[in-house]
Amino acid sequence: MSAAGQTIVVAPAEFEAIEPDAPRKRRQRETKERGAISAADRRRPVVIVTMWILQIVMFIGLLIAGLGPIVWSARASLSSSQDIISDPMGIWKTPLHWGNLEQAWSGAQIGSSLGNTVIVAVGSTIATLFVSATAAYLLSVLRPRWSPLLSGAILATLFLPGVISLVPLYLTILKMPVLNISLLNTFWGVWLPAGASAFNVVVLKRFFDSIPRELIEAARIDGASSIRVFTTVVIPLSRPILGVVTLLTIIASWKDYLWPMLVLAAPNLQPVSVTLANLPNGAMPFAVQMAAVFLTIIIPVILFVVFQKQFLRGVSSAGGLKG
Amino acid sequence: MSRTLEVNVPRVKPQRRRGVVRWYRSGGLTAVLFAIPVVLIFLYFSWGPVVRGVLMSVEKTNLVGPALWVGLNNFSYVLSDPGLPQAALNTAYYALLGLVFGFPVPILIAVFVNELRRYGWMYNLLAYLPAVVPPVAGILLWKFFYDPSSDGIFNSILGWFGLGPYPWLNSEAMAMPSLVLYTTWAGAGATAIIYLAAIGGISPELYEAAEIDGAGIWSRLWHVTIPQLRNVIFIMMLLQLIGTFQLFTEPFLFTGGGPNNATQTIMLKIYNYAFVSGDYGAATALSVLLALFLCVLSVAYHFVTKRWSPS
Amino acid sequence: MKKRAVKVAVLIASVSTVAALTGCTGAGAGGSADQGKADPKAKVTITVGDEPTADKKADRATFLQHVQDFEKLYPNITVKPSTEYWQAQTFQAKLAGGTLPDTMNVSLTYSKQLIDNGQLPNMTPYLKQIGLLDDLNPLALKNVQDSKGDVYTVPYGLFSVGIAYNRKIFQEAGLDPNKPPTTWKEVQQDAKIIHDKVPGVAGYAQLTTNNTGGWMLTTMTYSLGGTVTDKSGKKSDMGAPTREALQTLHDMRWVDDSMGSQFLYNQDDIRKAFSAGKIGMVLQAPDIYDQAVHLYGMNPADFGEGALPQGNGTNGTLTGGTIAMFNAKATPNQLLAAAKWVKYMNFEQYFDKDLAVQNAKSSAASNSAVGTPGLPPVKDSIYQRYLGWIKNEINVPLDQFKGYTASTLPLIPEPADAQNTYATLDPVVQKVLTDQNADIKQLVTSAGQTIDRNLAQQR
Repeated sequence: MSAAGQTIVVAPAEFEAIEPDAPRKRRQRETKERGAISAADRRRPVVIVTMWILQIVMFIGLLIAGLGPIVWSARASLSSSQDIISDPMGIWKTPLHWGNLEQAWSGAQIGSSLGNTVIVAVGSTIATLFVSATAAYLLSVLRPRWSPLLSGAILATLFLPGVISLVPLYLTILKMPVLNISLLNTFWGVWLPAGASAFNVVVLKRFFDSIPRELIEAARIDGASSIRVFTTVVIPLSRPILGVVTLLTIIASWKDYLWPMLVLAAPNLQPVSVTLANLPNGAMPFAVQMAAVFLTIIIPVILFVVFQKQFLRGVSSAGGLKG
Repeated sequence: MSRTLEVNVPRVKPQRRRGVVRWYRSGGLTAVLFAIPVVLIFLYFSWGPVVRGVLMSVEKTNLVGPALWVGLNNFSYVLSDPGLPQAALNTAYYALLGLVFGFPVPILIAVFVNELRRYGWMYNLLAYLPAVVPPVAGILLWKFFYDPSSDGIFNSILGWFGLGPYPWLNSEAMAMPSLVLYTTWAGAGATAIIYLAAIGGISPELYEAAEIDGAGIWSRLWHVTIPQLRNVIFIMMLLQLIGTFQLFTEPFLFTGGGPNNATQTIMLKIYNYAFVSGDYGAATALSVLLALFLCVLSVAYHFVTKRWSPS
Repeated sequence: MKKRAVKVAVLIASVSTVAALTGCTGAGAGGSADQGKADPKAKVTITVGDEPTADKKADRATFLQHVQDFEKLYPNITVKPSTEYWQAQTFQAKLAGGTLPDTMNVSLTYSKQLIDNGQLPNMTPYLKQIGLLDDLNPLALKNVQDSKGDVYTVPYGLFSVGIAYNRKIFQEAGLDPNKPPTTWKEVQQDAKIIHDKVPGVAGYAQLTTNNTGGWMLTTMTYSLGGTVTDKSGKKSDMGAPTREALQTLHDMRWVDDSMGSQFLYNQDDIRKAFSAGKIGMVLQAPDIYDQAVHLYGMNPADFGEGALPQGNGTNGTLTGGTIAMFNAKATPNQLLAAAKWVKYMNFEQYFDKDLAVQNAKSSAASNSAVGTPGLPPVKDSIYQRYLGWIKNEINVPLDQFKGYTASTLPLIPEPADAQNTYATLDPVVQKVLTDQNADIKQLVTSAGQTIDRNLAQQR
């Protein structure tokens, strides 16, 4: 904790502790130096036993919660519709139906839907990061006289339920006012609205508020323009929070189905979430639907297992988010 | 909302008063440049649609023909709905359950995983897995888990230990907690990773200092870890609150608001007005009321925290 | 001073921009002003929904073939097929945006609602113009008309609600699988016998969520000789029959314990459970057969369908099924063309033997049920002739529908403000099934008050 930061930043109390790391100082710090438990603690029998018990309990708990549903859906994807519905816990001993997976893969076009999901997620993330970072910089650092007005207008949308604007938003997409173009059946129709996230602007602004002002001042004195300060000081210092925003955006876009269902009406553009939501209305036998569900789960899981080191490091990049 | 940081404003020295030039020199143009994306995006995709939506709250519209101005009719209609108080209570109950039971779970997972010397990634992975299950698929699976007959999945498993069978979603008392259990399962892993990242950033010196002061492990967790996570906790709590007031997929697909309205939430009411009854005016009126209520709530929250915080 | 001026300017600028972006909210209603002035020869393009998706290869090929044939028949009409289908969550938005196909299929339960909301175009002139109106089954038409008798949608796949039962379970319980119950007394007795003799099976199950609870309570009320809303459509009108229906459910649930443990059923879930042999009897129209057998893998030999059980005498039943709806924002020429398309797709087969046989053959090839009994969409004489044509293609075990086909129950239209009324009744049914001490009289009275309130708001 740099003392200098504390004196300068007069952020609201709940934020005073956030403070980005000065890059020089933190770069070489090892993440796993120690936690709350010290090396000395780890030699005490009580701690050893407690940790063992906790580890076993947590492991079993997480195994059931994390893997259980996936293992069940794996088995269900190889069962017959009747067996799954009549005795969901008894499917382990029923005959295998390998054909389900093939039918699901070709029938529901899982491959191309997953591709669309990636396109949607990447575009939404870029839009979100760009819009909320520039907005947060404006509101936190540049602070023109009209910034309270703007930040008030942004905050006001924070708690508005999405239903209120679903229909008007759809009308906007169909015929963008002034521009008179339609974003229907284009990825822009999903990407751009994702950028209008008051939550992310608030989160980033709070973080930017806590960046020691002397760093910004120093860069200014060196003759850096506002844009340079943004790209070379603020953004690099904010990597951890940007990582969090990225993760949240990806998860949100992975799960959202209502909006993409509206905007991406053409089946060849639809992401996985929409494909799955449409399945019960198709002609696929129930077991094949279960196989489609399983395929959409297992592919990201495999990717996650393969890339989990990079993924986790990405999230906790630059030493993580200091609370 | 936030206090401005007057001390840090990079003030440019007073210039000669020459309107545009002065404005330009003081960074006015850059500010406008930075404002363009957010203003455009919000105008198109947030403010514009919201205003358009709010206008509908004073209209009777079938979305096809011309709308009819009905003043505050829609408001009095939704306010006099005999089911409204229960829906409001249910929403509050859901928020409370989520905060008390669902909210600490990812923090506990993250704190625990952070203390592991080995295999931490394995725990992480297991905890994260539910986050990759799309909600439609997750709810489909959990409906099987919650099957109230004795050969439902949860009841089968609990039956091995001589427990149950439980009615799960079929009982007024258990329905809402069952929804919270599902949402916690679906959300905890991803949130835990964010907490973990934050915990990883806590400086070890803080723990060392606490240890030297004689603080035990629990005390270190309570007095160092948790306070250091304040910011992330705040963000996540905000996110969870927003999520609570957007909650409708789960009750809609799991229970349809039942049994006996035990899982009827405000959002589900809004949804039903808009998409089942085709009464968009009533739906937007209730949305506006909800937003006003939340506005009052957040202002109150702001003043309370302001008073408590030692600035 | 200057500061304030800037603020005001910014405020005005932003307000006016928002206003500009908001645009005009009321778009003109199509069709209503210049109704019936459609030119049958004009060049016109229509979009039609419900094109089968790629996973239903045979259906899709047939559908696209129909499109070609239709275009050949009417060279001035271009048909754009679309895989769009009815989805409750997106319907209102698409309606407002005018992006719905010019015609697509909708469940009949939504028909009244859409008509009452004024969200559909009046199709009477167009249906007259193509001569379809006179051939339609007058019984079915009641559900798609407004109070003035104008027709808004075309019913073509209609079923009246009956009772679906599992013949295998009946056999195991020692009941005669050829004798489904015909009164509610018998339903209760049979359910109890099934519960006693076949472990793990619910003798009878009831739909309860997403407005189906109210839908089925209404059906039961009708079967017991009652009503839910009165003739004027402005007041609720529930009495002894509704209470009797709830009392029957209450007794099956709490006295006999013959309704299993699941009381939150929506349409999909109950069909799944029934198909998997977890339910002995359930109120369903015969169209459940296709889904039960093809989606959920039920053995066709186990399926049985009887007429809706009644109280004393013959009272009546509700209808369900599929109708074709039209887009209110389409032009008169498009509406006329869309009506022609609906006629071609769904009615031509009743008049053209070759087409009837060809359609039946391709349906059978893509594993769809052919010849499921239901309400004939056309006059009975025409329908009987059609059934003769496709006799050899019927793949539905008609014998197992005898209980249903043998009866001729009067069809009673849905109550006023149907979906809202059903929504109000859902929790009533749920309460009776999950609370042993539920006060039925009080529940019905307070639901009646809520329905009155909703009807007063409506118009």
